[in-house]
Amino acid sequence: MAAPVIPYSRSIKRKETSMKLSSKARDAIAGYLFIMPNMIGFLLFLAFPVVASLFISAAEWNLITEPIFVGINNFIALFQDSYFWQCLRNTAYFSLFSVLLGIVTSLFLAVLLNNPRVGFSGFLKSAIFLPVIFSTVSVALIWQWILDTHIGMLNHLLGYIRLGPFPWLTDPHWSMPSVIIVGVWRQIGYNMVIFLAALQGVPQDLYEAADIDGARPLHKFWNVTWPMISPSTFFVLVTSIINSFQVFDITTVLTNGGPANSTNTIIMMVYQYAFQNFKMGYASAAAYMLFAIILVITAFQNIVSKRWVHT
Amino acid sequence: MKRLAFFVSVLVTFGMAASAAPVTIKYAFWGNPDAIGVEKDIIDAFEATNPDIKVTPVAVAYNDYHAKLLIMIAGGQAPDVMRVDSYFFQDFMKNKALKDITGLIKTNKFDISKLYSVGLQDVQSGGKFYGLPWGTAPLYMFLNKKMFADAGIPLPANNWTYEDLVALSKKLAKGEGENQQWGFGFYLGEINGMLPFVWGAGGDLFDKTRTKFTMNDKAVTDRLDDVLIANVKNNAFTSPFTFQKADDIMRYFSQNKVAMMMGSAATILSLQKIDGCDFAVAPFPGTAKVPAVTVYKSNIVGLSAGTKQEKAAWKFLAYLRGPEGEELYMKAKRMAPTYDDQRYWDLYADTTKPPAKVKEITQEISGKYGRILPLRAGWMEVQTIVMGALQKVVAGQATSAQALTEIAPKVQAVIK
Amino acid sequence: MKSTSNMNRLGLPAGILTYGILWSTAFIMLAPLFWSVMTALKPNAEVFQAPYLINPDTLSLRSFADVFRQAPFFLYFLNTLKITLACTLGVAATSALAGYAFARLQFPGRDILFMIYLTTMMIPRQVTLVPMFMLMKQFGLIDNHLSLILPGIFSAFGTFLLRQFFLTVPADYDEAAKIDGCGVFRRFTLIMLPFAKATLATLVLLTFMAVWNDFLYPMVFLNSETERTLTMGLAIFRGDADVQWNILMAAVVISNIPILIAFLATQRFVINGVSMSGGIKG
Repeated sequence: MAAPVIPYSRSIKRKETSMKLSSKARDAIAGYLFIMPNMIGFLLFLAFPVVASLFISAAEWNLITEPIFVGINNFIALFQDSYFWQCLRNTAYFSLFSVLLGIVTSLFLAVLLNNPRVGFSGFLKSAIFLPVIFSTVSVALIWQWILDTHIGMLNHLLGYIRLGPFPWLTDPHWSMPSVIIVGVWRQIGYNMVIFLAALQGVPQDLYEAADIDGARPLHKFWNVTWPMISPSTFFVLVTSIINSFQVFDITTVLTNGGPANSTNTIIMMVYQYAFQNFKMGYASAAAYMLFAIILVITAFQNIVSKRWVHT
Repeated sequence: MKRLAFFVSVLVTFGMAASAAPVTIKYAFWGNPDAIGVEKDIIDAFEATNPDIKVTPVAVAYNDYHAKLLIMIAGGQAPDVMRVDSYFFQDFMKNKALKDITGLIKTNKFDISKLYSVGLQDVQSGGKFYGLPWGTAPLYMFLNKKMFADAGIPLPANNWTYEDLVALSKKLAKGEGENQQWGFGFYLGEINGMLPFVWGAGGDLFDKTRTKFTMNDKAVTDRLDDVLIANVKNNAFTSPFTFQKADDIMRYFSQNKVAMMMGSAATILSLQKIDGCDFAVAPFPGTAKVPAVTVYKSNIVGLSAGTKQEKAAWKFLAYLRGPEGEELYMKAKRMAPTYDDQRYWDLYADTTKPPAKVKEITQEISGKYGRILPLRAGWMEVQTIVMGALQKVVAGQATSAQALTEIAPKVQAVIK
Repeated sequence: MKSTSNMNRLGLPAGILTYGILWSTAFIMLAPLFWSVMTALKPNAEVFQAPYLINPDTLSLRSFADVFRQAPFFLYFLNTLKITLACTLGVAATSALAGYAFARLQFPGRDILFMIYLTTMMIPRQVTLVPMFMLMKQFGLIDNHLSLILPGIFSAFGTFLLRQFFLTVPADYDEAAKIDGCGVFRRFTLIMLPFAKATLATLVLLTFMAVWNDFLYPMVFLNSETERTLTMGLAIFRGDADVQWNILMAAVVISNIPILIAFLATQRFVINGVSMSGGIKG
């Protein structure tokens, strides 16, 4: 009885092992094939330009004549450039407040809308989401008109309740807050919808358990809701910061960096130096600095996320 | 004999075949939709009379134009014929992006005799021509006739001074809130809005060699403080922080709330579209010592240094800036005449609309009161730095002397 | 069954607050868009007057007509549509393939490659403009829509999205198919892809929005009017000095109407899709 089984099991084993090996190899080959279109695109349209830009940032180039190699001079000059630091400050200021404000308001709205007893929720969701589908330039143009000190709708409406007129875009103390509000206005809907889905994914029994323990609404939020939606919060936080650091259209159209450089951002500085000041190398260096900063912030967030993101 | 005839006929056939295939050239320019329409009309007219040349227009909004132009040049795709703003032109010339067309002008006997002098100066470097002028025009001071009449004040003479401007502004400014009126409206955009005041104070942005920053001289900073701080405080001048854009001031001018403002030839066209807006133009007020402070500038159209279709490109350039093109521009009232020729002024100026005597005033400006900008490479960078400093002054963060002295080293580094 | 109508409505104080906030927010979102349409409907003379003076007698579609007269917006629309559709389909295909590979297939260097690929999301586009232009020039694709489509059919974000999704699909499905002798490609198309429908739909919609509204690349790579996109058309109306608000707003409205219609037709889908994109763990 054993004799006929052994050869049979041995042959199966051989078959299985041979299947496993070639299947593994086949997987690996398939893996490379599957990512090949992306990798080709990555090499050609991302890796090559990025590396080329690194070389450019080590040069002085007016875009007309040949670039001149200058090593790390651009980066050294950048560190000593007060204009760069001001643009960086403005960008960080914009990012910090627009991200914070954006997350708090969109989360709040999501919590409100999550209540199944709220009627018209479909319409409300779409209405609040609507600004997201317009281009940033369109949004900025519309708001440039609304915030105009003299013919703007906002000041006119405020005039009805005897307020203003306020210099939304023309006073250096008001300009950045106005820009932040426009940025938040555009993004709230997007973040809100993400939070809504996350909220809907929180298991009801957790809330019921909390209720049994006699928890108050705020307690419930901190101890149940917040941890359960933290992966989404993390996603929104990371993508918002990456995007807000690259703000360009809103500040260019609304205030063109003014008044008194209060809304000049890093990307605007890159654009100015590349295409107005004939200093493409310097511009590339500034862009790389921005990239490095975003990278560091994201890496930092990744590390810290182990603490507060519940998986 | 027969062989010669055969040879010649073969050559002729080849020549004809070669010239029969249409040559394509690229022409880059900026504009809003109306302006682009004018360029297209000119291209159509040119192609009608030159069937062997095809012109491909590359039109972008002004804000993005020079960026696109530079990217094209860097990528080896420079347009054959390109328009360049005078602010960028010096850098283009310095880096040899444009072709020296002195020879072409001579050989083809292109008539430059009637060009306004500022146009001629702006397109040359070291005695050589690197383009032909386009859009030569002074800035004007615009005067709201109704507001002057209501206040019972006669319009100033052409040789008025800065002190006159301040006095008139104070007289014309009055009221509050909805009814507020200002004497003189200005905004902090390009630096040429401030230069007349700098010049009037006896100073300049740079020294004569244009290698030293001189705007922080005491006479200049005193004058700037007067303009930006003192007169804004008493509402004789508008605050650049309430009026941030040119069309804000223009709108208030047309609504009889601002009595005087600066503007260009394009402003004339815009104001003419508004019914009931009666205005006059005048030179900028100088001073007894420095009467000529009206900014005068010209943009340029030139050929790319590496153009592979030099003949065709030159033909188009000559058409564009010669009598045919100029006439078409004048008929469309796209810009003021670049040539001192009555024929063009008659086409351009609408004598049924204000301002009266626009040609005479312009000529007086170009002859007596005009002054060209101290253009040089790095102009845009310097402008950004200086205007940033002046905005600080208006924001009350510094005096002119402090702000300009602070940025002086930075500007020096750019123009060294 | 007991009537639950009372339970399905919010109590009075909570209701007022909740609805108050939600409706005011909706108003704040919609009002600016509404006002821009109103401005577009004004005749020239009224534009400079105070914004509230909407005179029903003088409302006119003149500005819209002017926009179409001054620029071939329908052509711009067709160009934009062509580019957007091509990029969207491309991104869906390449991201699904790569996302699956990064999630489920083992190959050497997989995770490092993925990390590197991810960091490219953080590079500002202005940095890569000039080298990209030179690259496209080498390929002879300047002023050709392919210069926008070719780089546009890859997306690190899309790959990230699909990879995260495929990670949430239980590995058993894959394993079972493998044991049954299913080849990789068939595993991918017959089993994994159907799971990914919703996420793919989201990616399609997000990519559509992004490509439709792109301005920088079209501005740099396209020259001729015949190739222009809607965003470039809008930019030309901005002008430098003499801003005609009614025409400008009309141009804004016209540029955005197609995507607005697309959104209204698929809103539930879009919103559900977007909500899924963020609810992914890890």
